[in-house]
Amino acid sequence: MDQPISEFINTDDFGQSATYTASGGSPATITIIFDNEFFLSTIVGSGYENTNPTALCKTTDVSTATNGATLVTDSVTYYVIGVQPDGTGFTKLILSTQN
Amino acid sequence: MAITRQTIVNNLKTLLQTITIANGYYTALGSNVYLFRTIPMQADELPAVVIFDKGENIDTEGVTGSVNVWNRVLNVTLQIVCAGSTVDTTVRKLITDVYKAIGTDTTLTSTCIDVITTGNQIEIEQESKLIAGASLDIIIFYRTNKYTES
Repeated sequence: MDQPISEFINTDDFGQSATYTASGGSPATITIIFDNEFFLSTIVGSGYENTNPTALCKTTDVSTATNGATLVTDSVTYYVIGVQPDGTGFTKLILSTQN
Repeated sequence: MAITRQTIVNNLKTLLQTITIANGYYTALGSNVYLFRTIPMQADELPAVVIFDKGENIDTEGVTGSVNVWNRVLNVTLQIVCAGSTVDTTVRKLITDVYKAIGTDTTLTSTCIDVITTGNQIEIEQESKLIAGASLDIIIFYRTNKYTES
């Protein structure tokens, strides 16, 4: 199961390197597929131009992920605010630039 | 001739623009005050407040006043938006600043009888940026001549 996932998330294609640090843990270099698409936040009826950063990871790389873990990629530090394993070996981390 | 309702919202906008740190407020909300803004805001435009004079009730035909006068009740919503790592604290400061500013001129330069506040609601949301907003409801009482402002 792990071999196809590694082939899917690799730096030769859409993957990129990131430093993942679990809460209370040590930094580890992992490969992720990063996305940061536009997101229109609506707050009390007003719109705000936001983005919705996510990182698709191998579940084995982030198996202990909890909210508050950090991920540094492209020199930007993101905080994990959501952990979404899909049950097939991938986990999507929902990220924010603010903790 | 100026339309009283327009003058009132213009004066409210001007009043909110006095919210600066130099004037003794917690925030510089006065830098970004809008009337009926519909386009989304960007990070460098926050904190901001948008004025919506959405509804009005009119007491006509002398139910409580003269037959030639309309007693008008303008329902205004002020939408505040801010971003940052401490938005909950910031949004409380913004609410405090808006109330303080209104309290300095509750006749909006003598264009209305009174301005009263009826409450507020706070919302917080997080994607890439943490943002917060508050919706403040105020009621503005004013009078005009019946059917015509003249």
